Amino acid sequence: MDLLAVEGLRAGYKGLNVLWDVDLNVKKNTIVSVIGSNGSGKTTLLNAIMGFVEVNKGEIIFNGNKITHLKPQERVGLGIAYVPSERELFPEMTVEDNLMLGAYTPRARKHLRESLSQVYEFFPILSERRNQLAGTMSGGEQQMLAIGRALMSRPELLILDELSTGLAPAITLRIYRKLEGLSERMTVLLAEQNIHQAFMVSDYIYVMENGKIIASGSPDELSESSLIKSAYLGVKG
Amino acid sequence: MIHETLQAIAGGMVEVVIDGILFGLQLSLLAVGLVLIFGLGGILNLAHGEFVIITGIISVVLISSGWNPFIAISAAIFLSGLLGLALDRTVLRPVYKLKGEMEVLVGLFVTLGLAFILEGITSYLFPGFYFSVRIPVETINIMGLSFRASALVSGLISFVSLYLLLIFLGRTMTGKAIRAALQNQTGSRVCGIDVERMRTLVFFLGGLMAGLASLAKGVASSVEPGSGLELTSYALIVGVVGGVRSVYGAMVAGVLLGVVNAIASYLLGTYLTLIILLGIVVVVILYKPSGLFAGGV
Ligand SMILES: Nc1ncnc2c1ncn2[C@@H]1O[C@H](COP(=O)(O)OP(=O)(O)OP(=O)(O)O)[C@@H](O)[C@H]1O
Ligand SMILES: [Mg+2]
Repeated sequence: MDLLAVEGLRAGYKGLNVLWDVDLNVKKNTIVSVIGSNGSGKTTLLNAIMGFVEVNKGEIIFNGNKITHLKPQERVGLGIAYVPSERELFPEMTVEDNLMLGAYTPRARKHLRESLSQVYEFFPILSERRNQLAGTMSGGEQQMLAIGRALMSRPELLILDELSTGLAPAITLRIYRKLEGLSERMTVLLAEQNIHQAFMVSDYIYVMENGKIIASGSPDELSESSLIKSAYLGVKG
Repeated sequence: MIHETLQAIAGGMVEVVIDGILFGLQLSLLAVGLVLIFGLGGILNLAHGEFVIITGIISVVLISSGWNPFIAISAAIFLSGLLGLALDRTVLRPVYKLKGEMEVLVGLFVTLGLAFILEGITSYLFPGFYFSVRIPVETINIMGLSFRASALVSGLISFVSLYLLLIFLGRTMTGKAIRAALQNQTGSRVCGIDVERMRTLVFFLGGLMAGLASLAKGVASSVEPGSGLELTSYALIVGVVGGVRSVYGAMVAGVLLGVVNAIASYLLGTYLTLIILLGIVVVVILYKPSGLFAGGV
């Protein structure tokens, strides 16, 4: 069953569309990536799924329900968590307060203590720095905090924009491995620049160009495609 | 001779400083609502002082119609909170649709207009009226120093109010959500926080704090119609010095300015005091425009 379905989506800024008739499906307990060059519309797509971008046409369906016109915070309440590329932390609050706010919704608040110890186990550095102000953390630490905060909401669907930003490749890989471990009870949608990593961890991949999906398939299928090979994998087809 | 004069001044100084702290707490309480609302609502509420006046008026009206004074004053303070909530939900609704500087500017005009209207109406309907809570004891002696009981009780009311506000903002999930919304609205939405609801809540809290400031002022001295804009100016001075988005800053700045105020009027007279306070504001704006304690909540 599809946990998330995007159907014929047109969305953009100030009435101008960036996305053109985008279709995208995310099956339960899979990891799906959206790849594409700079400015192709990956962030805009994720923002539209979260409700931060105006939708002009099409539908967004989560767990069988239309969420196209819900406010961002309402979508979070339904079990979608988002790690924006800008992280959007609370710089003047401690690491622990940032994490606790991740469990703000009623469905998450019940499990706050349990989630907190799970996140600390996931990212031991956050446990060490629990009383430090978020704004004084390093870029990579802030990225871990943003992911930890999203996990605190116990999401069914975790959406990550450029997970690798600011992180050493080894750390990124380790986080991906952990997310794979979590995919038994969680579904992941990511936008990634780092195509090799996207190919490594994803079950399914969408390729965007100029606001359109130009190809999609499993990593195996896509690496066979000559188009993708020449454009993205740097292999002459 | 000079020595004796100095000693007399120093002897009185302890009392003056404590008096200043007590008055300063009142200033903090007055400013904290203004700062909260500006931080999250983006509105510099120039009608803030009118909330103080209206709380006083409602208290007196209720008491004179036979209510128990304690219940009457509590109800008036609560109503002041509701007034803040109403302000957010009605008059300011269209203002929020504007962006950036326009929002701030139009917000200033709307609340200034409201302040004039309320000041006019209250002065017209309640001429010569004042709200004052009398404490049965005149002075209290502590360790050889004597204080006006009214100032002590007023300071205590302010302190407890501020302390409870800090606990609420610092320890409860809703309080944390308010601080979160102050710091990053997109981040708040990502956490599932309804930023608009937090703003309404902050207006309610701001009104509540103004209501409590009315009680504190009514105990220390009196609250009269027509002085709302003056109270707003004091709140602004404290807010600017403390950092106009920092609740914590407003608390510290209020006490600091209270002490400066007391020492200046003790040594130089009341006339120069306001000039000194405004001088501090100018210096802060020139050298640290974000306020002395900017950042944090
Ligand atoms: N707030 C905005 N207002 C107007 N146009 C925008 C806005 N944000 C993005 N765009 C435009 O939308 C297009 C898609 O941008 P988007 O950020 O979605 O790309 P992206 O695939 O995430 O790129 P990157 O890999 O660099 O993050 C770009 O042409 C960009 O200029
Ligand atoms: Mg992007």
